[in-house]
Amino acid sequence: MQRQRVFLICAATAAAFAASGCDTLMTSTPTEGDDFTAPMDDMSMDLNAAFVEGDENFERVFTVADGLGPIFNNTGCESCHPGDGRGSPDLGFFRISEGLDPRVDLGGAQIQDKAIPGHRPETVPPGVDVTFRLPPPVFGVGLMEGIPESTILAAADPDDADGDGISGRPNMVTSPAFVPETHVGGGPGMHVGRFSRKGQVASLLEQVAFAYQQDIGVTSDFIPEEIVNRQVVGNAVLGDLVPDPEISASTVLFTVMYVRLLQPPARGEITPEVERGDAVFTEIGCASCHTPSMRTGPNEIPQLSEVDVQLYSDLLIHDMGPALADNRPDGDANGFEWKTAPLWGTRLVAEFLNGEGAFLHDGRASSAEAAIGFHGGEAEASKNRFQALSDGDRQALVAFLESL
Amino acid sequence: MVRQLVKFSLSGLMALSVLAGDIEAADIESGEGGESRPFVRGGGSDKPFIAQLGRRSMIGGYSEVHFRYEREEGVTEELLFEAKRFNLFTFTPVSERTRVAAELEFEEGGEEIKVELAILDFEIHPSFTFRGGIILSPLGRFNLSHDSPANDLTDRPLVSTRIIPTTLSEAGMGFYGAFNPAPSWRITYEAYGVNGFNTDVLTGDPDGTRIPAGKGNFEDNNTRPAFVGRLAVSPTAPLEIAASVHTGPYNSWKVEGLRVDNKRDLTIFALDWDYSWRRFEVLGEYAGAWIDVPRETPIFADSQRGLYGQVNAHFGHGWIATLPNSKLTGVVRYGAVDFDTDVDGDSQQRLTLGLNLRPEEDTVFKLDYQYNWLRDGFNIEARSAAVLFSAATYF
Repeated sequence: MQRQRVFLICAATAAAFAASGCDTLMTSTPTEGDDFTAPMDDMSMDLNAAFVEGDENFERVFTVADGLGPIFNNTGCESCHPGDGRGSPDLGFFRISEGLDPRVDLGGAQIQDKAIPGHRPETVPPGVDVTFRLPPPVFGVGLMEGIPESTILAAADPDDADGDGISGRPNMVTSPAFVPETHVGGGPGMHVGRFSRKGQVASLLEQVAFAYQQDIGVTSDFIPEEIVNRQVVGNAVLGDLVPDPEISASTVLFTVMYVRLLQPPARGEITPEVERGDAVFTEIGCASCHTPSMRTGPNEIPQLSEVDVQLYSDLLIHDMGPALADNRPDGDANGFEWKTAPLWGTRLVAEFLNGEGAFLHDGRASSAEAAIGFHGGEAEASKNRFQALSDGDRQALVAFLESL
Repeated sequence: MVRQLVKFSLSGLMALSVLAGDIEAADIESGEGGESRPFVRGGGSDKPFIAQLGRRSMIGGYSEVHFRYEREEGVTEELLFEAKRFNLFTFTPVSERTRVAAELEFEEGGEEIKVELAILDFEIHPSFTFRGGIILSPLGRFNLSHDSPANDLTDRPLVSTRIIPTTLSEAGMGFYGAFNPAPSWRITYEAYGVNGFNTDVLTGDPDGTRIPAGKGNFEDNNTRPAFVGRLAVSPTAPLEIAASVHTGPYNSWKVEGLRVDNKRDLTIFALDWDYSWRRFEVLGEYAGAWIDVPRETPIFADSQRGLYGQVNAHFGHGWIATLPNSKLTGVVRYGAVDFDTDVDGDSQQRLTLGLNLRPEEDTVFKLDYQYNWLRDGFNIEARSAAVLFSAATYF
């Protein structure tokens, strides 16, 4: 009798397990389009293999034995870009300068606030211009890279010739010598900067190689020099104990390929309210800078070739007014100018930051609506129009932003 | 607080040794009245040795094989077979008072081969036995009793692998013994000086501050030993509660006479319990770790903790007609570890349900389902689940 009862309990348990389904028991797959770590669709096996290799690099956490430091901001790519999205305010870092001088002698341009044992981290020195920045999301950068310079330049209107109050201009920058002409933004001469908060970086290779060196303290074939704490040792070089370069060119290039192949998240549900908000977005002038779509040029990677890119940015720099000004130049951008932030993935920002939104370059705004409130300069008129909207239109606009 | 705890433990051990003359010393291997009560249930003195070599030495061992199907957030991570461990152990009573024991471990097909245990015991008195060599550090019961055939789930508890780095065996020496302070009561102790951990606790694991990365110090890195000890109280044979501590410096702060760093200590405190009542067993372990870390490097964790609780229910004795000695065991275990108690995240919880069949006492087939909740250093949750099947036997 007892034996039968136990068998019945076991059978009922097994049936309950079976009824729950494999995904419930064994964890379910993330909803397609709701994450930042997905590769482009239908890639070839070669690209998949490169993506996987680069993904491992991106997830790698460096230890002292791997070459971390001697000073650094974090221990790996994903440590700053969790889930390949933007970093939270506690992952932010400081950049300093005095006028156009990045004050390398004082620890600039980037303050590395952590150090391996035996070294001292840098602190923000007094009397300099300081900006606090959050790590930006890394998805979709391959599509941004694929937009031809001519497309970006065509949207520029530095003298506001059309009189709409918007005078976006490209941040024209040079690239380091290690970026070859075969890379977008590489080679001699001036290039359109399209990456980073002020668009001060023209090539993905430059962005990734400097992130390894500046953020993690890891040298590579591209940048074999260690960063040191100049606040402590002046010009004497005191590195870590791992011979430089600490990673190969190949490692950096696979990491570049990984971020290049990350697709942006899919749009959320498009409800009538979202459609209405989309119209309001254009009516009040937001779309003048947050360009809904641009098209990539021909590209060897089919998924990046001649496709429409809904990034909601013109990739130009704009005067955003005193509330957002950091008074610190970057490339050709002055202290008031910022690159139009791409809005794709806005709906998932809070979800990826444990329910707390952290918008704008320093995360000061906890919601998209709060972020609009800090807009000024060329965006002042649009902000005023937003604030004058009816409650319904304002909610519709926010619903639209939260669908991106 | 930790230092006080250590001092208290040491004082207790010393007092017990002094009292040994007045209190009846317990037989190391058994309780009063011939009732079986091994020094540590499932521990080194509780292994079945099957073959005798020559006049004195005995040889035995255990073997363990796994099948694992694991998924993380719906993506298949692993589906594999693992020849997990093949361990050989020997025991030789050299004389009435001198004993030698060893355990040689081949893990994952020989990927890792190590002498896990190599001890020389000299019994001065049942309450005071010298032990030296490569000892199993008495830090929590699980580290002393971790053989797969003796345990009812395939995977070891989180706290006993991630905070207490089972198997923690260290070069060292010291004393152990047992007393019967009152009828049915037994107190056992172990106290050793060992080499301790090294700086890899902080820098050896890419996941962050992880104590297991700093073990394996067969040469001391800082010329200062660490202390490890355990005091177990058993009011009756089915119940044992024990406290243990491992404390000492883990970094090299002096090199060739020059001070290159501040001396930094690592202290791990553990509490374990084991109670049997009729067909049920309740067991578990708590551990807390305190680590002196360099203040200028805020990525390191200065305190960690974890626990597990487990209930076993034995049933179905002899249900299988061809296996009259067989029995079934249902198991539920909850475990959690927090790798940095100062921040939200960097933690893991695990719920395991298991059903195993012991066709005979020393052989077990285990079927487990486990569900994990992991939070990274940014408090972002990832879930994983696994179905495990394993077989293990002593031989």
